Amino acid sequence: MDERETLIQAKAGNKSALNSLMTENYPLLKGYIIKMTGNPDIAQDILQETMLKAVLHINKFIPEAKFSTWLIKIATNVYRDYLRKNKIQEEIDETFESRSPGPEEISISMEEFKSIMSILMKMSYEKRAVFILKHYYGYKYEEIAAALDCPVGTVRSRLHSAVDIVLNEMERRKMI
Amino acid sequence: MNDPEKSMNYLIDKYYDKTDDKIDIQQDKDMQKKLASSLDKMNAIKDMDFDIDVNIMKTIVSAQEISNKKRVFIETLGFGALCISLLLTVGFIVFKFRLFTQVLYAELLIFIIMPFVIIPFAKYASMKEGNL
Repeated sequence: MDERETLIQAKAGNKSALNSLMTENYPLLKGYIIKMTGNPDIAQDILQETMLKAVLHINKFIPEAKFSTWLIKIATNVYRDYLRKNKIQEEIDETFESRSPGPEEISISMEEFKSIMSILMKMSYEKRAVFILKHYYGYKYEEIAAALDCPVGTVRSRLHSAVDIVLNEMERRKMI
Repeated sequence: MNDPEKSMNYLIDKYYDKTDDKIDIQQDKDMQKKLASSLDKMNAIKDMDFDIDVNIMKTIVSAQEISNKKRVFIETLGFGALCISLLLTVGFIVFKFRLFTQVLYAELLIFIIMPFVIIPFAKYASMKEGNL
């Protein structure tokens, strides 16, 4: 079943088609949310709610666009609403333990690992979203603009600003 | 390029878009090195993962249950509104044209005939369910 056919089946309420669509895009969505939130509990909630909303509103999805882009859009909006509702200062969970190849294996210290995460969290969620999608997932400017519902010029400007933050923070922390 | 901000923006675009433009000015070469070094360091968290998981099928089932509940609620509301409108219309006609006696006879007729219609139908429906 090609993606278009799967989408049609999913919109018709076929559970298997829905499951297939979600499973295919799950790693990307999970990775994005983890980098956006930096906190496992928040990431779990955002991921759960994003998937729930995606299934509930599957009929609103236009097949001409990429399904992963649509999921990213939902996830970003859910996270934005979460921030507004909780009015929390975004900070990384100091006790988090990543499941990725440990720092020992990739020759960087845990401190540097946490510093990198901390730099990411220094950005506003809009800039962080652009940076994550561009830097880690190689999205084009137009795709990011579609996912975040903003002009391409704004995407470029946010990316430049995000990279500025990265450079300044790395210099300040003497990481470069 | 003299403006440092413009230079940096150009270098950022070059880093991500992988263009082949040559950079001639030493200052820009240094900035490019610093940029590349910083952004490469950010790749350390590329495969970062937390010990979290969402049961996809369970989420799909929950979402469909929510959808069904919403649909049933709207249908019940619609049915209730329709019933009230019908009763109000009938009531209005009865009082406007003073059809009290006719309505009484009609109601009696309905109450007598209705069991003979509903009981066989209900029996047929329960037999069909039993066969399934």
